Amino acid sequence: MNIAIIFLAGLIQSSLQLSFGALILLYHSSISKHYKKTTRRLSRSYVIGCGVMSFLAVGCTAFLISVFNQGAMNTQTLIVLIGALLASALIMWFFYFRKGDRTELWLPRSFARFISGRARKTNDPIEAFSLGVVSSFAEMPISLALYITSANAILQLNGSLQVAGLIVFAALAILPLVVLKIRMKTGRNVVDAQRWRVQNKAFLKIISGIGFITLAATIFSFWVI
Amino acid sequence: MEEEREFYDYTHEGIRQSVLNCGLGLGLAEGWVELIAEKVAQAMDEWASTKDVVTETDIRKHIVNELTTYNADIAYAYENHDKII
Repeated sequence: MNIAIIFLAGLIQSSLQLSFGALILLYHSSISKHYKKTTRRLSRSYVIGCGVMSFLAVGCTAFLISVFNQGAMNTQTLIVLIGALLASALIMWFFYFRKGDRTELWLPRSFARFISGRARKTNDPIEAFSLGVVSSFAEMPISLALYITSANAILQLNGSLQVAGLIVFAALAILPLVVLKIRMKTGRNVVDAQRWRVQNKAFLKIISGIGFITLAATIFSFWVI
Repeated sequence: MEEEREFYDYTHEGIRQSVLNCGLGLGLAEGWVELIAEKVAQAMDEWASTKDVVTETDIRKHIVNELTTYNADIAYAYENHDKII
């Protein structure tokens, strides 16, 4: 069951849109300035940055939980976590995307402009890696509950499986970015990706929200009761 | 408190370059995008020549209108570039 929880948390994490949007901006800017090879290198560094951030965030959270709880979380903290997951579901439904026929997110506009500006100015793999780290980190208010859930599940696995759990979570978190990379490689452009996001915005909100609620229900059923 | 407005000169090259960057970012053929960018910049020059002051929003709206006649993808990317995240 712990592996299933990690899997579900990773899938929900993959439905968050900031890293995906920033990769679209990075592609759009880089293709107009660089050779394809450079764009591929930048996008690869960006995706690795997102993956490393997810991996480290869950690993660090697991360490903190084990220090403060001497092992996995107790029932009281699990109840708080369930509350946070349910609140995240409501945030996904009502506040995550701004209203209108576009995909602007909940982020303060000044910060969104900062990420967009960085995506356009990125010319170097290290900058792209850092942008991946920053864009994953910026989703923290939404993804923190997912990190805590995965970390708690990972702590309940055997030693050798713990690293595998971290890798599974990070791999799932970057899955949409890898899919976008493949689609760009096979001749699609950023407009196709953005149109898809706009057309499926409501669906993404519903799926993510249901995912958060399912995760909360699973935790309640298997860890609390 | 009234927001301070920023003024800057309208330039043919500025318009051409912004359309060019947007089109090239979609992986379209360079020559074709250059042609579109030049045509749009010329149409914008004509439009702007009848006005003393124009807002950035007006300029963007007219560029998108012009682009729609040449390439829907570039028009879409131009219109939505600041609405992605």
